[in-house]
Amino acid sequence: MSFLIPDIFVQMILYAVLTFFLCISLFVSSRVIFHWDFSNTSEKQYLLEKQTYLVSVLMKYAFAINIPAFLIFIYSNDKLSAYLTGAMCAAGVLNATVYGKYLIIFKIINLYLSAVWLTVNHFDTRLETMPYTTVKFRMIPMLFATFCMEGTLFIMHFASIDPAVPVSCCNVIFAEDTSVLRMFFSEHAVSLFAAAFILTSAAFLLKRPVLYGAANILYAAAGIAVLIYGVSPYIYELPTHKCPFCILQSGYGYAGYWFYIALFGGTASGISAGVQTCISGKAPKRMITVSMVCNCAYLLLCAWYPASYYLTNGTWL
Amino acid sequence: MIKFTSVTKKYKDVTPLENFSMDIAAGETAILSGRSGSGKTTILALAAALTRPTSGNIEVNSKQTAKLPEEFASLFRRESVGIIFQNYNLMPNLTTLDNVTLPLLPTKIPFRQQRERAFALMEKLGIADKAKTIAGRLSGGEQQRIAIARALINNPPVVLADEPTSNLDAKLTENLLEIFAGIKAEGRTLLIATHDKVVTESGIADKIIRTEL
Amino acid sequence: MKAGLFEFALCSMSGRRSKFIFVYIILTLLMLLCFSVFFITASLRAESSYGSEAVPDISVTMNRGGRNELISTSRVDDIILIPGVQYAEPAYFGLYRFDYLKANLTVVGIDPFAQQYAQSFEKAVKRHKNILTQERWMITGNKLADTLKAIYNRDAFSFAKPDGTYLELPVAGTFSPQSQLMSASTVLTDVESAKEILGIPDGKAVQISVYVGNPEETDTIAQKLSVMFPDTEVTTKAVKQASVSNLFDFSSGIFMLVFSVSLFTFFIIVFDRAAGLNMEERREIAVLKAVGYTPSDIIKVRFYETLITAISSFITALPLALFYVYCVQAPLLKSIFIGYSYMRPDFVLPFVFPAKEIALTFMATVPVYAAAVIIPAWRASVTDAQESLR
Repeated sequence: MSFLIPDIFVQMILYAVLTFFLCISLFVSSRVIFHWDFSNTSEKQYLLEKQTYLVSVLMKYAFAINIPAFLIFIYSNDKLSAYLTGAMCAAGVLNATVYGKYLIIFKIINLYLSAVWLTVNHFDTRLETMPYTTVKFRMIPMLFATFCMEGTLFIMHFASIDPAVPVSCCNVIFAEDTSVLRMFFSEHAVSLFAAAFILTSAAFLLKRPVLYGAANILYAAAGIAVLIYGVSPYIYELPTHKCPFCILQSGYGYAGYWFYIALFGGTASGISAGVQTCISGKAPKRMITVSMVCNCAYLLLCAWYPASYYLTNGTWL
Repeated sequence: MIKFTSVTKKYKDVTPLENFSMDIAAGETAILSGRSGSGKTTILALAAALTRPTSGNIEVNSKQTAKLPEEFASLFRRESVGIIFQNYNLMPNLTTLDNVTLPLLPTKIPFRQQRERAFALMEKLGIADKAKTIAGRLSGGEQQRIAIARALINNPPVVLADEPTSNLDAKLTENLLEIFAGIKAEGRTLLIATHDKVVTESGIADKIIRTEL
Repeated sequence: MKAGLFEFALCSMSGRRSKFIFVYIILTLLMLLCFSVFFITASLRAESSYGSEAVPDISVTMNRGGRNELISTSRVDDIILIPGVQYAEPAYFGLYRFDYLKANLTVVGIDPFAQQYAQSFEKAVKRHKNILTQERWMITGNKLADTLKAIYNRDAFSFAKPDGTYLELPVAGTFSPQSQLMSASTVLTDVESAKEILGIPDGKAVQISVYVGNPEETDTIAQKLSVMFPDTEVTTKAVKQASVSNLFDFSSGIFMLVFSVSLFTFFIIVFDRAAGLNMEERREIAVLKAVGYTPSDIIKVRFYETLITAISSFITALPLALFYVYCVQAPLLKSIFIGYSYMRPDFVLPFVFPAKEIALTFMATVPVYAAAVIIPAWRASVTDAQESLR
């Protein structure tokens, strides 16, 4: 029944539109993969060029929709937490079904993938010979697959939420002792993050764009880990409260949005720049600089909360 | 400035242009003459990169345009080519001023500068007093001068004109030839497609290219 | 954003006015429907959360074979001994059929000497100290008081008891709960009168209300209770609230289905309208391309047109919906949402600022509109520029 809740319903509408558009993109991509020949002067090739243009418009639309859709998604999970016994924020709801975890992972992957695609597209359409067209259209089937995965998980997740079953709250989900992996992450979150940042800055200073892109993947993962285990207790001012979702709530001044904007902006452009360098052999310098600025901003944000806590209370949590 | 090397354009069932070559130097004025249906319009379209040739090379303003994707073809026209259409092709609902500044709207040129440029051109062509009039209400001759102003507003090195005199009487044709002489004097390359003897014999052309197959 | 292109979009829209006015009207109606439904549900949700102040932490009711029966008050003594239970009391409440209004009144018997857990009850008791000395009394919700005043114009009200005799209660005053529904239908009386009106025999009660000191322990205590009394149904406040909220969301779900069908129709209509370029429009676009407009410039113009239409619809529909829902109380729609049961007294939808609902309506309509325009816009943008020479 949860599909009839307005915010989930709105997401279903958006999924329907995006699915339609991705099907068109998939269709065009299959034609491009098999028939693209830039030197050909036939009408068919010209039509294909026009269609690739359609796909880039559709993908821009999809990306523009995906970001607010992601916010609605988090918000709707947050709201659902009121109906589930035990849940205090979106974390509990996502953990309520076996699909929730994978759903949010796929949602994040899709955001990154579409950012990468749009970057390649941007550099492709800036050149008169459209040199990366085949590469970027080979990426479409993959994008389509991950998108379908996300859509399926979305339906499964919301279909299988049962309000009668009590779920865990974020304190339990992000507690340190639930698995080996978590224990590792929670113990070494800060050092991992520091290592990732050093690697990223080194790659930046040494001008190794591909390494920089790879380091950004690590930076994204370590950034989330440090946010959960290292920084969030200082935002909540409670040593046991470790949650990446509660910081999005009004009680904490929506601080989480700044964290996520900086982290996503920095790492998505960093990874995209790495991929672009792989494809073209030329590094998009401005993009890497923007990415590094965002990454530094994220670092400062992460340092700010513990530091100000230490300054006011004279102790670490 | 405009160089065609063995250019062929084929549509599904017709071939308006086959193995055509020409070379117009910078600052030259050339007239394409021939009866209708002999490929004059196709040559103009190819020169302006409005369409792409089936084979052959085209170089305009030292840019290879034969394989230009649409986005770049438009940018190329914005920078290098002004077109004066046979039936003027104005936006009938817009004012004279808006019609003249139309090509500048997507550019980064500041609004004030756009208007200054437009007024300078309209002054020169004698339509400045009609700036606020809706273009559709003006006479044929005035509309053509708007079309010319619009073609020149980007300051293009190449100007193309398609049958410019077909809707004009003798007096207006004479005026038009004066305007063309002015354009030529500014050092622009001018390519006029026409079958009007008055134009062909006016002596404005440095070169007459016949398109009879 | 390029101001020039934006202005051009405005100009070209005024040239094709009828096309946009049509889309504008449909989109406005669609948003109006969406806004209204969301506003009503938001308002009802707020109403139900106001109403739940009178719900105890745990309610214990007797259930035999699916029938709700009265529970014996002696169980209170056992319940109060469970560790963690702060207080437990028998509760006396029920519906009284008031034919004149064709509505059910809710009669609640309260003990003015005991602590009141519902804030509005507490205030009522504090405000009307005289009931402490009176044996029989009633306090009505202020909306209901107005209604009764209009009908009877006196300070007493006669209840028909189940045995056919009448019980006249003096009106001690009014109370004003936050819940509009409660205000319009609730009568507080002394326990004895409530029992008589509702036909509850001595030693029995409708339910036993249990209050818990530490909310974290609620679930554990509820579990203990259901083990202790297998013949009862134990419901916690959270579960009750969730089911009420779900109920309201469910009825909005039916509207979502209606809405999705209309949205799809809208998509098709807009798609169709935008896709059908006539010769004049094709020529116009070809000319734009010929004078140096790139396909993305043309899509930008279309995008601005879409944006202008969507925003004008939005700023028309929003005040209309606010007026429709909160000023004139949503005629037609309201009765569907609160159920066709006319035994429910009329109540005013409380105003809550619907920020989320506004955002959701935007996300439900504007992307669909944009999606319907996008493919036709692309088709226009790749119009053969050579057509300008014809």
